[in-house]
Amino acid sequence: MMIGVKKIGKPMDIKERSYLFEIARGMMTSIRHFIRNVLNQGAMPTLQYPEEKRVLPERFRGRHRLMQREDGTPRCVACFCCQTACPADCISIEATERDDEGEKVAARFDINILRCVFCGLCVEACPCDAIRMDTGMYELADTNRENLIYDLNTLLRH
Amino acid sequence: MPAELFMPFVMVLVAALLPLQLLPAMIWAERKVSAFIQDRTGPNRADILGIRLGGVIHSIADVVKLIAKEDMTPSKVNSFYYSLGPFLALFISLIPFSIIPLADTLKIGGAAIPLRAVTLDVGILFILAITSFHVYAVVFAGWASNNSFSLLGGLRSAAQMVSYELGLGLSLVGMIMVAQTLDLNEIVRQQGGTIFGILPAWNVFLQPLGFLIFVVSIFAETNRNPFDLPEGESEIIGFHVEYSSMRFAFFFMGEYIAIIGGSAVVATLFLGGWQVPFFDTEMLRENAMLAARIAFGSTAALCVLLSIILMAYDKKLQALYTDKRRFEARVLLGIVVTLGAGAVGGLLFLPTLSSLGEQIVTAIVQNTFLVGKILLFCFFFIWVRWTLPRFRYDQLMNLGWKTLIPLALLNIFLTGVALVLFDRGA
Amino acid sequence: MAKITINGVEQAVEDGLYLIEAARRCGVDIPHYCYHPGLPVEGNCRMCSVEVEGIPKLQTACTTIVQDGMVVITDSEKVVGERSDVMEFLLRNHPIDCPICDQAGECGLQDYYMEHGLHDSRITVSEKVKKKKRVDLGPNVVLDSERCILCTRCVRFCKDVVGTEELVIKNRSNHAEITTFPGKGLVNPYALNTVDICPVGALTSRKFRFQCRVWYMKNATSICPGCERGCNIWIDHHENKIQRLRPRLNPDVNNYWMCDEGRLDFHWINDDRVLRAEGPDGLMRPDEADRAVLALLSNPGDVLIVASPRSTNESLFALKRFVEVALPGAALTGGSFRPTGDDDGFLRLPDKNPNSRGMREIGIAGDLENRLNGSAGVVLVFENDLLGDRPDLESVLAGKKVVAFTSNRTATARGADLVVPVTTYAELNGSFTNHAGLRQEFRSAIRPPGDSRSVFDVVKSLSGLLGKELGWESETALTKEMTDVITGWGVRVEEETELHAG
Ligand code: SF4
Ligand code: SF4
Ligand code: FES
Repeated sequence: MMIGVKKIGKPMDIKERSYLFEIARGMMTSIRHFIRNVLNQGAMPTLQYPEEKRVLPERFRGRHRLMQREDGTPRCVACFCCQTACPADCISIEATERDDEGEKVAARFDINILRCVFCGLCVEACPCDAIRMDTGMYELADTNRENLIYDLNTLLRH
Repeated sequence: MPAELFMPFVMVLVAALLPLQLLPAMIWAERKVSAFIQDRTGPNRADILGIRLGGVIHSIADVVKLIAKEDMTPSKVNSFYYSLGPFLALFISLIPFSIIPLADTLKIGGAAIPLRAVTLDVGILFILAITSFHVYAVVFAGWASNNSFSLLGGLRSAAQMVSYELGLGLSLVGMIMVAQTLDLNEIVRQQGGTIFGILPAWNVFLQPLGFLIFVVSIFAETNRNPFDLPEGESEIIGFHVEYSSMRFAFFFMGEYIAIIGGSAVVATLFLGGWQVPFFDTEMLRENAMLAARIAFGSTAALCVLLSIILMAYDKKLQALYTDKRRFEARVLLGIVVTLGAGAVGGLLFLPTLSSLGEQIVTAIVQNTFLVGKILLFCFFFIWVRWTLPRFRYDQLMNLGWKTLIPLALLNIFLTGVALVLFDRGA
Repeated sequence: MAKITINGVEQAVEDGLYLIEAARRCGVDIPHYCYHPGLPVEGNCRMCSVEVEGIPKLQTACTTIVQDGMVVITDSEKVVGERSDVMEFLLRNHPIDCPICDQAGECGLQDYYMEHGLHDSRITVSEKVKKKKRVDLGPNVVLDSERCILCTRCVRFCKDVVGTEELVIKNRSNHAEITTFPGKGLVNPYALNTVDICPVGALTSRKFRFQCRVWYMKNATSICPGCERGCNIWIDHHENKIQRLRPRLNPDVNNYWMCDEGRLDFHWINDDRVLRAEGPDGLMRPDEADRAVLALLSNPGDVLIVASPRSTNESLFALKRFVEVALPGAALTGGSFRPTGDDDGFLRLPDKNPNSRGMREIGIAGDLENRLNGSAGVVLVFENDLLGDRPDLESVLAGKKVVAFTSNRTATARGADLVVPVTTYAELNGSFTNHAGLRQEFRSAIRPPGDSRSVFDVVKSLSGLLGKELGWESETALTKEMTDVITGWGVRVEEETELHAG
């Protein structure tokens, strides 16, 4: 059985149909790149990571951190705004009462960085400026999934 | 004659080792050239004691990996043919090297010593016959794997290879009509001298159409892009889908050796083989001293150039690395300087050559040119692969049957007309 | 009937209604804080002010009774301006601590500010009057005085609905606060209703405080299984866990209220559940469990099946059919040893089982004690914690093979030879028939945990293994047949659209 082929676009002229000239043009293009790169390897855009690193833009969103108040306690009031805003569902908070006057504080604050898409919506949502992504940390690989769930203390330390 | 006795062994060894030596270089070149064509840096990470040689070490790592990998044999395969496939793939692609003349025949004391492993006066037919065997490797592998995908892949490849064999054979007919011989060394010898005094009398200039058809067909025969449907690893599963470890490596190596072999055949048949352009064997032998000097001199010059490059490279390394990799350029520089010093020494203390010495120098120079041509054509193979997209299967068949074969027939006809008109053969 | 014109549309409404209620029935919502349809009116928040033709000043709709020919305007510039001004006053001392406030998301201040306020604040945070942020009014209720808008709904609830009068307002103007009398607490058994009716986040439940944000929760309609009254409730749940129970309006049963005991009694649904069937040889898959039960049923005459007034009508009906069809000769009995309470004259009733009347009328005899003392060697206990309620029964059950179909690890389950997990009412569509003969349906709220199955599924599978047909394709067919057979039950009244929840 033949498979029908629908032809679209303008028909090729004889020069194109012989393919030879077009092939030659393509070959010239690739050899041009080749020669340029052999002669001037430094001009290639590749960075020799990890020896060379890109300079991060000022507003780069890296790993999260939780801010502290002056007395060292977390600024976070466990309002769940970040957890609600997060599209990747990676923040999970448990709230509890602070010992002083009736305030709420996070008893548990886990960020599952494996799920995080680094959108920064959590930072936008926070009414207390308690969560930020300004650490500039992006080398977050690990050999163990558990290490990639950052808890309250880890997030507060940086 | 001791030379006549041991020369064949030496030549068999040389013929077998030549492609095997070129193989890692070829794989490295494929990676590096593809990288440069695509504006990447290519492999440059694997190192031995900090020496990376621009990625050559990756080939070694590859070998280790392939050997160390688990060799899996699916449970319901026909194990004899399953193992025969990769063996054939490698073995058959090595055979053509046995009849490629590596340099002009030596004459020692009246005895002629041909510089090839097997002296065969039907060389071209032999090559065609052997390459047809390649299809068995593919079909065995595809069928014996007991996997419908690999079977389909094998059949697809078989059909492709059989189809292009016709074009391959027919494209040579015109050339044979001109040469009036099937012996490869004879064909090479005929390509000495010039046409109109400016072009080397290579067959590529005498038979441009035949050359074109032959090159296209050889691409298809070696399953190279744009004819690499037999593999099509990621999209249209090829015949070797069930192979792993060294058995897969055999296919892999077979493919690359087939490329080197194809280049050798093209170089021999169309690009003048061991002929040095504008210098035939006699001229070279007379000027052997000069040739040797030029060789040493150019080696020395090359070493100087390399040293300069390495020194610049060293600066970069010092800035970039803190570990042992930063000493790479210095180590290499040491080697290059030693080499250069050797070359200069050779230049200064070159003894006067005997007649045998002259012949040997000539053979070395000719062989260098042959290998150079092979390498250039290998580069062409790579260059094409990273430029052209793959054919669709129907396009592939159309090209083979409806374009190349008629063109080859036309080529035969035109050659015949030309021969009758200019009466060269008669 | 009175004819009134609201915003230019003339409508007929019942006589004697407050204007705010009349308007609601005509489809016009008038914002309000202090008005609650379950409480006497007071008219202190002024949020419901509307224009009534012929009266120069704005009138509070919650205290004005409709009169024939009244012309009311609720959307004039004057009314809208008034609402905005009232909002500004109410928020004068409000701490705006929504991030830590449990009411956020269902808060009257948030909603009406977005609808009617949207003004810029004229004072700074430091100018606001500070009050106590955490006052324990009683064991279950916590007060945040700063958030309170002094609508007195809670005061009126204690005074007029329960009659205990624990709450009062002390001090005046900016410093007015809700409080209890010195040395007294908010201890009445209905105290948590004040948390429901508080339109802002001033009163919070000690148990629910900070547990879950309200916008995460989904709700399902249900019936409280705490006593024979069968109060209508909402089950609010999140991540397959029940977070809180709230009363659901049913004027015939519980009106807007429920008791604290019933409200706080849901942790057994979340915790300590039986997830897999357990036999003497360890855990079993459901099919293995069914076959193990089957092995005990070889002599029906030796089998006693114990039903429970805590089961749904559907489960009981299926159980009865199972005995009749698949296991003729086996004895079926029902009843409960649960300790009874008092009738406090408001909601709580002595019988702590939700479906005693349903069980009786389906026709399951209540001779539990006699039957247990009988000779039966195999006892199948469905959702009934015999040993938990009457530890002395242990000697009676000692010689018998006991199979406990139970949702929780009760004393009965611990003493049983075979434990098969079944669902609770929160994971089931079903109905209870309350003390007054009203059959009230409820919907499943959460997914059954582990291998839990409904009693219907269990007996269906068992009768299948016995080669018998119960005769229903689905539970809907069962319900239909049941309501056809038993005709005396009333039908649950569909709840009206609730007024502003706060
Ligand atoms: S950056 Fe985005 S995905 Fe990551 S935790 Fe914040 S809200 Fe979630
Ligand atoms: S939004 Fe900010 S204050 Fe709220 S829970 Fe997240 S980090 Fe804490
Ligand atoms: S004054 Fe009418 S609702 Fe408060």
